[in-house]
Formats: sequence, structure tokens, C-alpha cells
Amino acid sequence: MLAEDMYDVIIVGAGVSGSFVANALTQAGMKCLLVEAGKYFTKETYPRKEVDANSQLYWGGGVELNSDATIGLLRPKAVGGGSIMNQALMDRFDDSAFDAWREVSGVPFLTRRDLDPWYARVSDHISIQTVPEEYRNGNAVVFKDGFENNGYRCAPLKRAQGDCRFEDGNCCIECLSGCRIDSKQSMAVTVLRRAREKGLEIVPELEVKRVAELNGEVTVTGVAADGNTVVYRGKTLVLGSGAIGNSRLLLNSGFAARLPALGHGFYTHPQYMNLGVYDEPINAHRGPLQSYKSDDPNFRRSGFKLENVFAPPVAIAMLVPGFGAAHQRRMRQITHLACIEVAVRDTNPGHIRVNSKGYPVVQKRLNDEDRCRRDRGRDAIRNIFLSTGAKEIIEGNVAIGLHLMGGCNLGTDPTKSVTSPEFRLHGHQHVYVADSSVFPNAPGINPSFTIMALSLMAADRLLKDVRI
Amino acid sequence: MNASRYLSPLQHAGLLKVGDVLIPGDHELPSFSRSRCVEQADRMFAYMTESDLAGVKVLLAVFAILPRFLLRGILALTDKQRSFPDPIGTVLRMINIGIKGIVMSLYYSDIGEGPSIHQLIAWDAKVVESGSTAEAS
Repeated sequence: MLAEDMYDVIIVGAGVSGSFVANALTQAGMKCLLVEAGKYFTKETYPRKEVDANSQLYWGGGVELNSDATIGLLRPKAVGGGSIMNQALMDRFDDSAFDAWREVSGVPFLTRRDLDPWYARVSDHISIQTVPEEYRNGNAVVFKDGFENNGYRCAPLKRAQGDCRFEDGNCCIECLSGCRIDSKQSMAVTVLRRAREKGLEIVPELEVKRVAELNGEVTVTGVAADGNTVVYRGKTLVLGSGAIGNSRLLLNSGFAARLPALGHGFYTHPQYMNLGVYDEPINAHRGPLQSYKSDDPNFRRSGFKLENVFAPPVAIAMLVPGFGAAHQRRMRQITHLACIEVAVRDTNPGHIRVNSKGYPVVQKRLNDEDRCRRDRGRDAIRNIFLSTGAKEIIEGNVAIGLHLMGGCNLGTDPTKSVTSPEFRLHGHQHVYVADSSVFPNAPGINPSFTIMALSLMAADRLLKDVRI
Repeated sequence: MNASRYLSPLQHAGLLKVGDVLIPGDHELPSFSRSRCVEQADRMFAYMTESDLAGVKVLLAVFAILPRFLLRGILALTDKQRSFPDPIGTVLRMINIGIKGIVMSLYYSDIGEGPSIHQLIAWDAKVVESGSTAEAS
């Protein structure tokens, strides 16, 4: 079925980037359509049970695996994308991240100075707060004390949140499947709400199968929830389906012939959760989920960062090795577990391709340097746990990929990159990209804030282009 | 009783069997089968990809007819997958994540008709919504 309307811009993917771009363009008076494969949940409809959240909020029914099953990839699938289920941590990139980006991309504006005004503009759209230390839980105490005991530096976290009402005993771990009090500043309750008021049209549960650019027009072909195929037409296309989604869509749409770097340069910040077992209750699930971040220059130079995280019971059960009675005994100790995660600034790029059915296949491995970075982080975690009285340490061996980056990397050279410094696909005048798929390499810092900043920058660029 | 739209009686029996090997129950926690969470299994299967579901169904059917000691041995191997080179290691990792993922998801999501697993492990995460307390899950 061919939709009748002609849109100024069609945005594929209602994640962080797509939502920011859609809002900026709609506010500028453009007729925009935002399509998303996932559902449009609200605080009343977010899945409550962990099994439902994992099944309904992620591609692949919860987790997708890389080709050798060493990394579990968590790929959000909902209107709002990762902002629905992430921890909303908001950090600007540092010089180390931008220097590495400029070096590989040749894009001169990738500097902290150039991005700072865009970070500031993001702050106009969402509330960013420092997580209040007075409500920190036992896991945060272990983290802070362990850092001090070992001479490491940590700092309070900044988070996109409104009023979490910790005084009521609220536990942010619940919000990993959507914030039921709309405190977390997800796209659904911030920019998308404002964009809808200005006329943005959102079509959820439409899985886009093909995109095309021809004769100054773009078409987007997708399958709706009722199984019908729908074709939308527009003047400009913005891709916001993330690293795997964008690569898959462009590969299936035949763009690889003119974009040889498509699908290459994929990074994930592989994360390994490690558990410390304590005699006294830790209650890592209560209150703010995270209060501190590692802020140690030696860690940064060594290529890793530590986070004081925790996870709901199913995820913890997956992390605890073994099975049977011993596994059950361990799960009964869940309130006595502390958790620190090492996130690796990975150096070995992966490759996204599609199989004969058009499904994405992700080839991604840690190299010796990446493993070394992980192990340095584990050493620091061991020091923290042991210095705070842990009776036992359980090292997580399952890597989790939450920050999915690359595949459509920014760069000046069309043979080595996919997206131009103007945020357009090389050789294509009407197709823009600004989400994490444009990252030239792994920054080693939570990406949300920078995705938002780049998306505002790209929207500004698009507006200038169409008004010339 | 098997009321699954996705599993045959044999596959259902396989899920109960592997579930009870992974979660046998003890003096405090019920076994996988006694928790009756298996009755909610379709909540997961409905969202699996066709290829994943097909692989799971084959595995569950095999588990149903395997002697319990052999099943326990296979699960022990999947738990030691790091010791095996690829492609064997890859297959063992996939089985480990897939089967353990299904069983642990059903059991620890606290969806069974039996006693609350979350209460039994003292998991009391909550969010207070507009004056009312919505317990975790």
C-alpha cells in the first residue's frame, strides 16, 4: 500500500537520535514522519515482569548474540529506544574520545569545543541532575569506599531524571523496563511529547525492510503490525535505527555497492559484571541504581571504566555461573551481592553483515589489547571488593554489549567511511544519519549525551541544506 | 498440563526436565516445575525469532528423551564452554545462554502460580506510583 502523504522528512527509528532529530525538524515547521519497529509504551503500559520486559523491549526477544556467542547484544526496540531502558547517564565526551575520532575520521569539528554548544542545547530539552548521595544504597557505599581504600578516583553520576522521589523508597532498578513515574527523561516524555504537540506523526510497530533514494525522493517500505506492507514517500530520509539497524537496512537496500565501509567499524564497549559476596546485606536494588562513576585518569589511560551497577533477578541468575542447588543458594544471597561492571573501550572493530534471510550477523571479538583492558579493570574490581570485606568474588564471563556503535562511521574518505561530515551518506544527497552508527570508534564513555548533541547538529545541518 | 501454543507435549516435558536440573528446589525455593512458571512460557516464545524458537524446540525434544544424568552432563559442559575451542565452544555458549535464559527468565520473573520467588529471595524493589505502591514485578 502506498501512503498518500508526501513528507518533508521520514525518520526511521524512534530512538534517542531519531527522536531528537524529529523534534528539531518538526519544531522548524517540517512535515515529519517517525517510524519505529517497536511499540509505543507509556508509564501505564511498560512491561512489569522481567521476562516480558526482555521479550518486548529488545530485538531478538531479549538478547542477540554475536557470531561466536561471546557477546550478548542488547538492542532496544521501542519508541524512545535506549532511553526507555537505559540508566540515562549523561557524560560529555573528553578530549581523548574526540582526538581519537578526529584521527580516524578526519572530521575537524569533532572537538569538545565544537560540541559544547550542542551539549548545552540538549540540556534545554531534558533535565540532567546529579544523583543525590543521601539516598545511595549499599552497592554505592562499597564502590565509594573501595575506591577510597585503593586510592582510585570516583565522582557522582549525572543522570537524565526529573523527580525520582527516593524519599518514597523508589528503586530505579525497576525503571530498566521503563520509568513508571516518568521521572527518567526518556524520549517518550521529553522531545517526542513536544514534537507530537507540533504535529509529528509517529507510526510504531512498523518494521522497515527497504529504503531507497531516487530522483530526489526517498521511499521507505515497511511491514506493519497487521502484516501489510506500507510504502511512505518523502523528500529526505534520516536513519536512526542504531548501528545494527542502520547497517542491516542499508545492506538489505543495496547501498553497499557505493559504500564499501558499510557495516564495518562496529564497537560495543563490552561490559562484564562482577559480583562481590558480603556477609551483611547490600541491597543493591534499592534507591538510585547507580550513584558514582569511576573518574580515574589511570583507568581512562588503561582503556576501561568501572560502574556501580546491579541488575534484576533474571539477569543476575544469568551472570551467576553453574546451576542446580549451588546456583539456587547463590540466588538466595542476592541481597548480599554487590556488583561492579568493567566497561572496555574496545579497540578491535567488528563487522555487521546480513545473511541470506536479511538478518544481521555480527562478527565481533576482543583482541589481546581489549582482553588486557578488561583484565586491568577486573584487577581494580578485585581490589575494591577485597578492601571492603567481600567474602567471595564472582567474575562475570558473559560480555554484554549495550553501547552499539559504528557501521555507518563518520569520515571524509568515502572508501573508509559511510557518513560524510555533513551527516549525509557519501554520494547520497537526501539520506542523513546521526545516531551511534556514525561513531568512528569507541569513546569509552556512555554515548547518549553525545548522540543527542550530534543529532541536534545534524538536524541543524539538514535544515540549512533544504533551505539553500 | 501443557497449554503452550508453541511447544509439543514432548518439548514441554523437556522444558520441565531441564528446568528441574537447573533449578531443583531446596528447603526454601520450589523447583522449576513446582513453581508452575512453565505455564507462562508462551510469554517468551511469542517474541522469539523463528530460527531461535526452532532451535530451542529441537533441544527441548532431545532433552525430554535424554537420561537425566546425561542431560546434567551436557549442561555441565555448556557451563565450561570457555575450555572448548570453536566451533564447539560457540555451540555450547549458544545452548548455555539459550536454555539457561529461558529457564531463569521464567523462574526468576516471579510469574508462577506457586509461592512468590521474589519474596523468597527477599527481592523487594518497588516504585510508588501516584500514591500506590507497585511492587517490582
